[in-house]
Formats: sequence, structure tokens, C-alpha cells
Amino acid sequence: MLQVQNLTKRYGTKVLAVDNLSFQTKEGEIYGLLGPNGAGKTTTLRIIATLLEPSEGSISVAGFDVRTQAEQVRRNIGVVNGGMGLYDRLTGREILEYFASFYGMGKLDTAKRIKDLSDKLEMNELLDRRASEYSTGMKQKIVIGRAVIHNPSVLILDEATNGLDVVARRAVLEFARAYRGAGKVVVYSTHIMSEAEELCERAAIIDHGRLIAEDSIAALKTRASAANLEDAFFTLTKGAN
Amino acid sequence: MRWDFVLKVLWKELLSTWRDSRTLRATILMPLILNPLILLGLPILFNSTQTSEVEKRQIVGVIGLERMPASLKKLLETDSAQGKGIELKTVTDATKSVQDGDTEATLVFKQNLPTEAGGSSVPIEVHLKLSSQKSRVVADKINTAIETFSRGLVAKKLASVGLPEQTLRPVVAQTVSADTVAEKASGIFGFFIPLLLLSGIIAGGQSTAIDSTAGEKERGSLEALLVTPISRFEVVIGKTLGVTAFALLSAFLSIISLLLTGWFSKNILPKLMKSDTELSQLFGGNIALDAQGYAILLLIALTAAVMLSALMLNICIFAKSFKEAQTYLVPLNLVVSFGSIGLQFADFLQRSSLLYAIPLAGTMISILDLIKGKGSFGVAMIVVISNLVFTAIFVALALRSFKREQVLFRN
Repeated sequence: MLQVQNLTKRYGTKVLAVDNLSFQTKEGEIYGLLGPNGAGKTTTLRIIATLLEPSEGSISVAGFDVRTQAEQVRRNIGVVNGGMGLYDRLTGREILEYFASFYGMGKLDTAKRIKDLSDKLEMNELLDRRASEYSTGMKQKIVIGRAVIHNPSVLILDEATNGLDVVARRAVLEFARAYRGAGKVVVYSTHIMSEAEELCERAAIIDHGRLIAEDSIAALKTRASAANLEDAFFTLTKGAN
Repeated sequence: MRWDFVLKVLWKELLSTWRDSRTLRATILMPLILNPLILLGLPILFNSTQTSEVEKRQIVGVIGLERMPASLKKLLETDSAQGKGIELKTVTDATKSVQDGDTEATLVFKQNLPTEAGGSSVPIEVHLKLSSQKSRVVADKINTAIETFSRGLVAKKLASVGLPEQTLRPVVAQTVSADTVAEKASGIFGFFIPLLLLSGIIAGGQSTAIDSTAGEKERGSLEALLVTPISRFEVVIGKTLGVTAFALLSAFLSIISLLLTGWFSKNILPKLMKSDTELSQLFGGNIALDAQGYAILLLIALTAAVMLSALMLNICIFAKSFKEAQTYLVPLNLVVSFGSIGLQFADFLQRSSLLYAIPLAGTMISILDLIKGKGSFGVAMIVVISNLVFTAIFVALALRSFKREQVLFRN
């Protein structure tokens, strides 16, 4: 589904943002990408999303190569990150229709998909109001709807709960849980270990751009003899550094 | 290139800016109001303030009043067809009384004035604020009175020896205007017109340029757009067209307002106020273009709008926030403003194809030429081609910026 092999990203000659990183996800899972701020998570995810060019290594998404088949990769991924915003003067429906148009979705398909998503995300009432009138939680629902309007096989959630209240945060986590399934994978990037422990089956811990450990959540805790993922994270990253 | 994708981006930019009513009013409708206000309002204001100053009896200080002949005093104080006379007041410090505002000017008579011509010239000091436009009115009144007094003495002297007054001026130069109708109508302040037109284009396009680049980066919506199947080239073309649409709308409205202003100053203003046609001509408010002239003006304005849109997009994509982009656009506004001020000296410029091919400068000079009736289709084509070539360069540069990681993810 998503395969990252020996990925390296350099900025100039001094900054090594990602250092020989490899991992792969399995169909139907929520895969955690864990690390402190500046660990290289967002850079890795931006390369997967074809926004940045890798310096070395290869990535395939649903069998398509990010370097040579960027458009097919983009047709198969959806991205939500904490910093993503909306067009304030457009309504939620207009935003969803706008993004659906780039995936070649017809009017009927788009309308059906928007109805389906607004039911799932409980945003029916506000869909025809301008985004400037939305609460933070509602905005994040539209951001998620926008990312999955084309039903991508890989959904990337990068610090997607940043700045959300407890209700909105819960809605994001529940949507991620519901989204995984046959033919799909959710990559969940966060520095909040409790969220990852609650949501992910497997995870990669990265620090300073390098892979520290990759395993199931239970196995990571066992390996570090830790009671929870946060303690395991500290033990494993300390050992590696 | 997939035009349906480009048109989608264009639609979104148009809808987004259209719904921003405050920006729309400020940037699109302002030229419609500002152009007539500057081109007609300034002459009317200038005329009314100057007229009221001429019709006012200014207080003028005098030192050495006893040395002033009664005939000169009468000339200074008496009203004439040119305006009211002045009121004389004895003062002790010539410069100070002017600086303190007690008098508009002060006359200093250090010697007795002659009662007949033929001796040496006797100076009269006139103290006034040379930097003040207001002082020029009182200076004119004083100079006219002294000149009349002096001419009277000469005429009297010449008459005593049986010679007519014209003896001292056997030859007189008569200036006859060789300006064409268009040159007369464009006025000496016709350089305002390129400024208004280009400023209108920038004002019309800049909001969309900022919002669709720096604004999108600031909101985080650009990243979302770039992970869809649309290509960067399609994004750049769609956004350039969006910016151009509002720049063009603004340019079009500017030309309409120039047309209406010209018609108003030619047909209505003379009926409302005496001699205002001349004054509005002074500011270029009465431009006399025919249909072909307006068509060429529109063509130049259109291509300038496309070029400026691509340029603004280039500038704004480097900014990471709306405010930063506004700051980045200040130099562009200054270039247009200072450039148009420099147009006052356009008569000294040696016209060449190269000059017209310089972006912005060529556009401004060609517009000025056009309103002065000196424009030609050939020159317009040089400007149009130059604008289109630079548009292509700016689009290519914008595309490069949209592909650069350092530009897109500067945060």
C-alpha cells in the first residue's frame, strides 16, 4: 500500500531532515509515525504527498512511484495536517466540490459523496455556510472531507488534532478508525503518544530523521519494558541517541 | 494543460474575491470615483481657491510709507478688473511681519521713489514667502502696480520729448500655441492619467494576487490544492487569470471613468462654471481621444494588466503572510508613482523602440503619447508585444517559484 525505502532528504549540505528511512504499511491498518517536533515526520509525509522531492530512496503509493508517477500518487492519497485551512469566503460544499473536480468526479458522484461524508462527519447543517463562520472543529471536518472526497487508498493525518478541543479531537480519531478497511491505510503522524497508543496498530518511531524502532504498539512497549507508549518512546529514543 | 482545471482555479479566485465586498469596493470601485475626483475635482478646487484669493484684499506691510508716491499707493489700493486691491499697513520688521502672518508681504522703500524717469533705478524690496502659492497672488498684484507706475513715468518722459510709449519696445514677441487639440486637452498634468490607469490595475489585481498566493500559504490551503492531481502550471495559469480578471475590470472601469470625465469636462463643466474647461485641461481632465485612440489605450491597458498580474503573483508567492505580501508590493506601487512623476520630463526623452519596450516605462510613455495625440499603432504594438513577452517571463518565473520548496514551505 505504502512503501518507503531508504528515504533521505537533505536541505543544502548541512541539514539532513530524513536519514535513510524505511517502513511499509499494511492494508487496513492505522500506522503511526511518531516523533518529537522536528524529527522529520512532516518532511517524510510531504515527500509521500509529492510536495517535496526526495534526495535519495524510493516511495511507492498504491504501486505508483512518487518521482515518476506523481499524479497517480496524488489520486491515491488524501492529506490532512494541523496547519491546513479553508477558503473563508467559500461554503463547505463549494470547497468540497472544488476539490472533487480535480479528481474527475462528476456532479452526481460529487453530490453523493458529499452527502455521505456530511452524514459521517455530522456537518449537514453547516455545509452551505461560509467557512469563515465555522468553529475550529467544523473547519477540521471540512478539511478531512476535502482530503477524502475522492476516497483515497492512503489517508495521511499529520498532527491532525492540533488545536482541536476534546470533542473535535474525538471526531478526528473516530473518523480515522472508521476509514481504515479493505484497500485502505491511514498513516497517523503525531507527537502525542497517548493518541497513537489509542489509535495505531503499528508505529515507526523516528528521531533526527532516523528510524529508531518499528513494530506493533504492544511490541514497542515490551521491547522498552514500558507501561505505556510514551515511556517506551523515551526509552527507545534515549537508547538510540 | 487541462483547461477545465485552469478554469476551476479561475472560478474559485473570482468567487473568493467577488465575495470580499470591502476589498472589492476599495480596489475596484475606487478608481471609478478617484479618477473624476482628481481630474475634475483638483481643477475646480484650484480654480475656486485662486479666485477667492484674487478677490480678497490682502494686508501688505510697508516700511517707509512716506517715500511712496501717492500715485503708486493708489495703484496698489484700488480694485481692478484683475481683482481687489491690497490694504497697506505700517510695520517695523519686514520679514518678521510676513513670517508671523501679520502681513502677506511687506514693501520696503529705502529711498524716495523718483517722480520722473531718466535717473538711476530705485529698488523696492518686496518681502514674501516664495515657497507659498498663496503669496504668488499678492506678488502678482504688487508687481502689476509697480510695473504700471514705472511704465507711467517712462511714458510721461517720452511724451515730454515727443516720443510715443512704444519707443522703448520696437519689437514685441507674440507667443502662439502650436499644440494640437489633443496636446492642449491632455494638459501639463496629463501624466496623471498613466498613473491613474496603472494604479487602478495594481489596486484591482493586488487583493486577488495576495489572497491566492501568500493568503493561501498563510491559511494552509495551498498545500491541500497541490496534493490534488492539478499540475503546478495549471495552478499558476488559473491564478494569473484570476488576478488578471480583476486587474482588467479595474483598468476597464478606469478607462470608462476617463471617458466620462472627458465628456463631462467638455460638455457640462463649462456650463456650470466659467473657464473651467481650461482648468480641467490643465490637469488632463479633458482628453480628446477618438474611437481608435480609446481602442489602442484599451489594448495597452489590457496587456499591462496581464503583465502586472503575473508580476504581482511572482512577488506575492514569496511572502508567507497576507501582510508580508502587502509590504512586498509597496515598491511596485512606488515604481508606478515615481515613474509617472518622471513623465513630466517625458518631452526630454529621446523616443526609441527600446524605450517603449521597457516594461511599465514604455506603457506609461505610450499612454501619455496617446493622450497627447502622438501615439501610433506601431508604437502601441511594441508596447503590447513587450508586455506579452514579459508576461510569459513572469509566468515562467512564477511556475519556478511554485515548484521551489524554499518558496512554498518557507515556514
